[in-house]
Amino acid sequence: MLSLSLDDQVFKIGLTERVKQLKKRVVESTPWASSERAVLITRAYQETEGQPIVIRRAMALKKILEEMSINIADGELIVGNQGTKPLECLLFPEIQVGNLEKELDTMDTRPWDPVKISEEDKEILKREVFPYWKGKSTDELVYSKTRRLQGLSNLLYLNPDEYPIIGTGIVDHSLQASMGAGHSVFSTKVLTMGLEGIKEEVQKYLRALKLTDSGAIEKKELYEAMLITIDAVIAHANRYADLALELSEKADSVTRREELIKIAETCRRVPAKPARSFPEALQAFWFILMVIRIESGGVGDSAGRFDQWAYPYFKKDLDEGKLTLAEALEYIQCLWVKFSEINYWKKEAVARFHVGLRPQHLCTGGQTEDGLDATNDLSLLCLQASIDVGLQNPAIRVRLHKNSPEEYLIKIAELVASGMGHPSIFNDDVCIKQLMAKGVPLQEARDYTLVGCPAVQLPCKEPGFSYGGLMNLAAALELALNNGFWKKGNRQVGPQTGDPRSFSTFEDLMKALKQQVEYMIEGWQTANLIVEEVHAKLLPTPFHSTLIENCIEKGLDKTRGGAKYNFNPYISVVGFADTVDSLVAIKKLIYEDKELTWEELLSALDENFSGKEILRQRILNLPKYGNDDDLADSIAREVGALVAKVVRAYPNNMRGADGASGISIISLGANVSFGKVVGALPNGRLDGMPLADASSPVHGCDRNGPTAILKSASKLDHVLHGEPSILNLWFTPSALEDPQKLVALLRGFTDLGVSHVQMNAVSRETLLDAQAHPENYRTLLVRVSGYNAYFTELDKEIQDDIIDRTPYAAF
Amino acid sequence: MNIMNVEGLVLNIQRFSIHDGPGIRSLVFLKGCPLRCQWCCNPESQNPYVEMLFQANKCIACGQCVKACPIGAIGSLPGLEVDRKLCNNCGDCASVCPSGARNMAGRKMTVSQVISELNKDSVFFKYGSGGLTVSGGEPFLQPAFTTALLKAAKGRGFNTAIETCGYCDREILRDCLDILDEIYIDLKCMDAFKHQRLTGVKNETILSNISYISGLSPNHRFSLIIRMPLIPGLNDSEKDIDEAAEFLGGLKISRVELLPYHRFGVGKYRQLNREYSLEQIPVPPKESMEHIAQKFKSLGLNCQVGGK
Repeated sequence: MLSLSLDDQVFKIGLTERVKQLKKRVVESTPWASSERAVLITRAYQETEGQPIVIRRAMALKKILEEMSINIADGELIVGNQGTKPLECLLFPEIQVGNLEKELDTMDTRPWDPVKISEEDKEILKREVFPYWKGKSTDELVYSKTRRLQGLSNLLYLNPDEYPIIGTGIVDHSLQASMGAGHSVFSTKVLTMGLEGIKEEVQKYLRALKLTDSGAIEKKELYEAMLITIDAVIAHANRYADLALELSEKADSVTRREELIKIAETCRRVPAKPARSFPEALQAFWFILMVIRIESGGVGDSAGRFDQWAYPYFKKDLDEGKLTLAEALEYIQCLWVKFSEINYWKKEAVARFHVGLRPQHLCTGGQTEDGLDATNDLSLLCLQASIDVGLQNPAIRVRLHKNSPEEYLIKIAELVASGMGHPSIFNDDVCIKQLMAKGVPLQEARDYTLVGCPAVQLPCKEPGFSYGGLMNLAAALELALNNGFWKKGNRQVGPQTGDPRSFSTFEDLMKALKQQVEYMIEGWQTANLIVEEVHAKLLPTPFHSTLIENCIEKGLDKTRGGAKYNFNPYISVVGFADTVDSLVAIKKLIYEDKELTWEELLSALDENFSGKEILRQRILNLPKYGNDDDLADSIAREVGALVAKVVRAYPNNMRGADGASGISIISLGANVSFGKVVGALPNGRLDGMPLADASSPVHGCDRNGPTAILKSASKLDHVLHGEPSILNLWFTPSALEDPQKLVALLRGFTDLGVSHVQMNAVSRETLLDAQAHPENYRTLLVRVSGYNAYFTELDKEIQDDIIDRTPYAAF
Repeated sequence: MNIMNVEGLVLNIQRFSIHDGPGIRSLVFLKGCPLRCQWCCNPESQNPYVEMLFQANKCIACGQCVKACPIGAIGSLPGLEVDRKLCNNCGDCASVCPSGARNMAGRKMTVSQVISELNKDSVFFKYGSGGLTVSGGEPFLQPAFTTALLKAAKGRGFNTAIETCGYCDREILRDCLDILDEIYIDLKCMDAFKHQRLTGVKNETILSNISYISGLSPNHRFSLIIRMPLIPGLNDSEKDIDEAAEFLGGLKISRVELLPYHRFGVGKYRQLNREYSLEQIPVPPKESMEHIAQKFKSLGLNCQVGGK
């Protein structure tokens, strides 16, 4: 372990005036969309008609980077934008155009993540963009392919004949179908080799090609596309250098003038050449992240293990006296504010299931590849910067293990207590085993980072896109109770697995549930493959592929299997605790105590427990998952394993058959929408009510506090699941005042082998007040499953759902 | 008798308690208390026998309890309230209540049973000296059980703490000193007459026990913490505070914790069909608590507001 040597004073500096102003600029922005990127990519595609797709993609990126508006805000030290103003949602007509067109006039008034757009921009889109893309965008191809498979579209779509499409809420692939890959991790290659170094590598492979070899032409095209994009990115950075110089001449102070000149020098240097200093490393990182966002349009990108890759530069600058600690902290703060400028446009159907989603991840702590503690001074400064900046991004993911130092845990506890919804806490022991179970060697596995919401990923060795949509486990149970018939949709959706009245044992029911899950997962896997095939065909990402290990060597784009590891995406399981508690009730009342018949239960469910309150109350007071109750927890383990085994049976056929990632029990805000398609459940949940959040217990069913919840979660087979599951704990602020208590809780969490925990510090009163007076709480963050969101931006229904969760008052 | 088989009347075991000793603790509330403090927030812990609690807001009026009650104590009063004059706390109503509106407060448990509950959180106790805190009611009203429980917990390496009103025999107290890491004793009021009016008992025994333990503390490893519940208008006058400060100034204690009056227990009085006598008392403002804390601190005492 590196000795932690920071002077305590550095933790008391707080935000500098500069960062306060930069933060204000972001906080006062509202999400909006402009037509700029959409127009540029349309023109680029028109100009390259008939050329190979990788070349067209490269030329499109080049055009955007050359012509997009750029700016440097007053006081900025790190520069570079994906759009022209903070919170701009870039539009990707090549990915989805139908929804955009249909929702053009409603996107600013919709309850889920509204986005403003000017009348002028709307006109431009209608005139220049929509006509070109009709029938050509990625999602249209995905849908037309999916629609041809009748059973699949019956499972996925409410009305398969409609476009744009609305999902059933039983299995959902709307996000992957309508967004770029995303889930990228920053490549430190940029820092050590510079893009010019990477360019040489590409040229070397290009020169070595024998064009008569099979597949060589496609490789050549990819290499040429890569070269186009590398030059374009370097030129883009130079545009910023020019702008900085131009601004320096008009600067109103000598200090700012010098800063701008330094920014210009930095942008001339990186990312073209290797970084030499902490500011250069941060600037190079930021440019690359912006370009990847502009190129691929995904979600959940990650800075990777920031405290690891930035540390050598940080240390060197401090040691050589080039930077003071306070200056380094200010650079970090500036970068943190930049993270919050990023936004995504989501179609309404996606916004409903992924409310508030705009996470940019950053990972700290963990282990070195030799298994030593990797925490350093920079890890602590990152956490401090998050406390000071107090914004949604970067979404901090901390890695913990049994040798994580006390100072680190205390800083984590302080960040939790600051009430910003950070950090998300991951257990090295579990995550490393999850990777090893997929065949990754130990030393490589120790270098994992977190992307998405959340997924374990090996930095730049995977293609991204590890998120594979959502399945509604409560719906699977309901289908098993109704012989495959979907009550809300009034149609047969699943296979006929028998009338439960004929199930003579509890195992019969589990068998029926398994068949329903198998059917759903088969559909999910098919839908995934369609999406991946279409991405490989229409959305290669030549620039990003230069940064992913093995893509250059293999001459294969990352969408086509170029990466070193190509695991199948994971599926998010929603409605877990409701399903478990329902099975507990059935097992106990029908099969063990025999005090209830199937007939009685099914009719109570059909009638939404109306007139059956005694039964419902009896059920509500049965053992529940989340209370360290062995009966309920053993069923939880069984159900988790059941789904994971079905999912993990599928390898990734598209990109190289590396095996499946597995499942993450997570809800991403979809527990509300998914709850609407499910009727009353045997756990006493009423028709249409929200499902349980992530892998947390059903709201109000956790009676023994957070240690009991952690114990219950520890009884799941996380390694078999293959991905961390999100566990949210809620605390009133008084429960978090003493960091030592949280440290003890976190040490216990580590020992127990729970994959993830998120601790939320909010009081009910605060949330109610924020609901009534959103203007006073613009930066109030809460967790909606695996990511954090601004509370006031959430739909009232989801706000209510959050408020209803049990806060742990401290006694 | 094996200490694991000693039985006690336990009100409740509360995991993740973080204001009653170091680390993460399980708080074992025992039932029965010799005092009747007017502000008591756990009235269901006072009587040394099992009692039926009725939470009217959970009641779905299904009427099963009316049928179940063997002596007809439910049904004659509105809202299915129990007739406390008749009720003998047999528990038949609670056992049929589907919604948990009727609950029995207190159950017999052996030390062994309590320990297995504690073991559930032992993974958390390891860090930051967490463990067991025995509270009440008054733990020393069940001396054999309390001593056996503390011994058993200590034997498992748990940190042990007790919260006592100090109204007990000195010998009982002395016997536990070696198996305790933290001793919390309440100091409610220095004025003997007022103490009797507010709590139902005189304070001589309590004060002498505090002095006694304080005198022994240099030779023991336990920390002695004095807790002062401060009830506006009842025991927080200038005079009350001055007298307490003078008394405590002469003792060897780790710290003083000021516990501001709160009203979390009001609903429980209703569940027991009892009157709450302090309806009119407001919760003290933070500033006045800090002011009192300052006074203690200026006398060189380690003092904080709230439990650590």
